[in-house]
Amino acid sequence: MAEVRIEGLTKYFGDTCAVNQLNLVVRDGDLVVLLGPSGCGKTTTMRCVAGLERPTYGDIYIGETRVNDLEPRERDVALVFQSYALYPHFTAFDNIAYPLRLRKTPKDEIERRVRDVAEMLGITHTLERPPGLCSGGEQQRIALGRAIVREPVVFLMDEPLSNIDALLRVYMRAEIKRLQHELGTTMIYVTHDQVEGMTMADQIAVMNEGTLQQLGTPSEIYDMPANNFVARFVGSTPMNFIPGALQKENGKTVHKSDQFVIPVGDEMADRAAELCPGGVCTLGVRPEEIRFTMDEEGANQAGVFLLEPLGSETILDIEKEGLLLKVKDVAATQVREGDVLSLSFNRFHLFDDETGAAIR
Amino acid sequence: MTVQQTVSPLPGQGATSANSVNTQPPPPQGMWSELFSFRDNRLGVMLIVPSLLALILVQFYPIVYNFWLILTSEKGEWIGLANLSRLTRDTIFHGALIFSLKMGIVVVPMCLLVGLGLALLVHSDYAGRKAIWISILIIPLMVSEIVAGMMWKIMYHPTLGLVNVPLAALGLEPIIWLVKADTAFIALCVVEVWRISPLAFLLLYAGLNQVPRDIYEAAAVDGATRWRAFWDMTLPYIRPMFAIATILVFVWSTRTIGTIAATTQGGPGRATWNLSWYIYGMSFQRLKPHYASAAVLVMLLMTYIAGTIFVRYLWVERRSR
Repeated sequence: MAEVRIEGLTKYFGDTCAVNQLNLVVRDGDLVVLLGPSGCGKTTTMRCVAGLERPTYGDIYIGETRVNDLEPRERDVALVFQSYALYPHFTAFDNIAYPLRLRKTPKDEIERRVRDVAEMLGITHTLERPPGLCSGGEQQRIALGRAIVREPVVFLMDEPLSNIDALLRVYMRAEIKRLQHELGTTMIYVTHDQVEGMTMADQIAVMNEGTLQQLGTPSEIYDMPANNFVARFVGSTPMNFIPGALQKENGKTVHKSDQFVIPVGDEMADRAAELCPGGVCTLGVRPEEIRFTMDEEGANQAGVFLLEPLGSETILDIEKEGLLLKVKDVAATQVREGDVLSLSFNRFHLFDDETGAAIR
Repeated sequence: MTVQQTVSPLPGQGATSANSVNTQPPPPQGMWSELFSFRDNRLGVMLIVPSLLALILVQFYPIVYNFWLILTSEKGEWIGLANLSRLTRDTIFHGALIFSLKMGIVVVPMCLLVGLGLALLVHSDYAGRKAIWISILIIPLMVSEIVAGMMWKIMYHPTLGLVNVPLAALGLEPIIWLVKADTAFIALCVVEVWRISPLAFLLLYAGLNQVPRDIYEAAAVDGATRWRAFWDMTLPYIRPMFAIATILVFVWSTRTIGTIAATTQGGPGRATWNLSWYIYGMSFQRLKPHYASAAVLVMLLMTYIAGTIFVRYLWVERRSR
């Protein structure tokens, strides 16, 4: 068990910069999710921690040891691959036992530990089979077992759930989180699935184009996105963005766009004046933070053009002058397609159009 | 654990087909009726008939004819197994058989080692431009046996040959390679390794390319050294290719005749007679094709037995526990 410290990590592949000056501290025992779209450098970062890639610049520490020059086998980390990378010519038992065999663990102890892990993961029945004859979910657990059985100081998971079906994924992500809590081992978990990130992480590190966008708890990431990329990326129904500018109207600051005029609180207006003097900024609001009335007289009116019932809730697709908004409502919504609603915006964020940074 | 168990159907599958037997029409009786029962099949059969005939002509007919030759004397009279029993007393034949086996025992492992070494080198990150390396390395495969033999005969020449140059540089007496039995054997083995190892290289290189990269990474993270990963991942993975390479190299090295014809002509004395050379000499110089056919049968059996052994111990997957 150890802390992982990444300092100024930069990785070039040829002329392409995959990771750009990344600083990240994963506290001992934490589950940190590296979240980002494909090509954002999250997997490269993790491969650098595992020792499968050499950093171009920067240092990686596991505990107090600088591991830059250590071989993967000397780092005592376990990696679960997206492809599982099981040894096809070994049985499941041998797959799980392999890291122990390499450490010259006594035979009876190997037997005991592999059985224990297999039982914990519910794959005892697969142990005598080669991985090729196991289902996707079983293979996934064999790969997990191979990582767990060693009791490494750090777990690294590279999108381990992306190749199994949706139902099992929901189950397995809870399982992995539970295992991590039970074992108390530091874990770095790479995914592009923001739901996985939100549900599993102690801390989420959102990455884009090789740089760290924000590090925070899931609720911090969700409620206080540092910039418009994080805001856009996190949230299963994405945040709505309304481009416009801040203006004074009757002594009050409002966010004025082609479609809406939205009053901005004094506190936020003061900070906006300081941080974004031009006033050109985009307003971001989550679908559940938009309130509406069926009042045809109120401010900020817009028409519903589509209902998306999701069972537990309904998404209203609202359109006004080329701007599309998604609004969450209860499942048994009274709204019908073609209705005109009057919108009010409960909690929202302002993002500087030039930098993309949140005004806070 | 047996191999059978690994390929047995998943539980449930057997039961399903057993249950549905009653609702299915009965299976057709026998291969031939099934083959000719449909129009499509009839066309298919027509299409394979020419190649089938060709196969019969060049494969089955010679084998059957060979048996007839063995069982008859040079004058065409039936003599039963006399040719074979004579073979057991023929010391020249014994020498040739032993020489062939000796050559196989030396050449096969050497070819596999050299081939594997080259395959690993070309496969590694150190070799850029792999296509160029491959095309250079397989040149010996494209050279005919006779030409290779001629070339090496010049290489082994006591005064002109390249092989003796380093010896001369060290101030040693030049070795007259092809006139003494033991040096001739070594010299022939070298030619054969040069000639055949590219085949092993090509097959093993293809095998190496089949190994997924990620299992090496998994092994590295799991704690395996490069050497250990080679032993635990690479070798088991390329084992089927290894078996194929072993069989082909064995066949190539035991049947060789052009090399001998171009270099030693079986000499000195009969020291470098192998089976092919014996069969050739017996049929076309001594003009005893019936007797030589018995030796052909022995050679065929030898290859068959060796092939079976290689397949059994190398190819067929065995469990590691």
